[in-house]
Amino acid sequence: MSINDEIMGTDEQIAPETAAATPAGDAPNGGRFRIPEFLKAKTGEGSIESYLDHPLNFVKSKALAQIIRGLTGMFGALNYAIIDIVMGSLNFVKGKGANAQ
Amino acid sequence: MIDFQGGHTTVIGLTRSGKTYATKKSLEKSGKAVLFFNTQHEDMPRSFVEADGDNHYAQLNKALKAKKKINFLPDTDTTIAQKQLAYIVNKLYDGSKHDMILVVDEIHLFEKEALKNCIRVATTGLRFGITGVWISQRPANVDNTLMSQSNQFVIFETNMESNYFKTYGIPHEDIRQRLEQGGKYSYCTYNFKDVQGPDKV
Repeated sequence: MSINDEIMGTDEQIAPETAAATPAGDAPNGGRFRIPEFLKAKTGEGSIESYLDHPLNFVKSKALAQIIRGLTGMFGALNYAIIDIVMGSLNFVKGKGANAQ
Repeated sequence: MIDFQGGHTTVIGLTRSGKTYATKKSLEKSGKAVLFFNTQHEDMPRSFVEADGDNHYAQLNKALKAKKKINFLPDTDTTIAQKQLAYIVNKLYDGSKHDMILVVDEIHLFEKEALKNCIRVATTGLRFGITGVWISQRPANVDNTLMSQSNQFVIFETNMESNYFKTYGIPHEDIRQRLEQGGKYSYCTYNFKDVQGPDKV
């Protein structure tokens, strides 16, 4: 071990609770730059067309279908409460109001 | 040239008085291994090999055994530099006998474990073949044990804080006059017997 490794190693032994909060990750430079894991997620399954009828594709567009497929890959089935809240808010703002279903 | 063979030495002088230059030039001529803890990252003679915290202590030790002169460049983070000095000096006591000079520039900047280990060199280092050379701008800032365990003082232009010189029996007035005579970059040496100089490197 280098001199610096030795002295840093001593620090960790003395005060392990003050060790870095973020793990080194898989960056070759020891974690100074870490790509967030969710950015490395694979896209959702199926074709873009299969997302045309997705409940969130309220304009039935291919572009939105592609976005939804990507989001499905990142976050799963997209049935999170936050999705409902965001989409409901958008629909409300668009004026569907009390008639929103 | 300054002779560092007779025991531990404290080198005192203001910034730009020539103390570090004279020390490194004199060390260049020394037949002993040298570990120069280069706190201010001064330029060193080419005969010194560079090392820093990325080196293993084993590499430093091997170089010292081969009578090399090492220019150790500590981290610019003073907290880490303290730890590096503490670690290296502690490792010098790993059981092997040395024939070396340990030089610490700006010794007054070091405290706690680093200073404690330098004091260990001042009090027991000669038995293990480690001669200490402590370089500082002000005698007032140098640890009392390091000063009192020094066999000689090499004094360049200083503020001549007479109280501190008196504490260690250094004839400051005599030295002050000699340095005035000698001019810029001159120095005097005091070894508790007599004052020598002014000299220049």
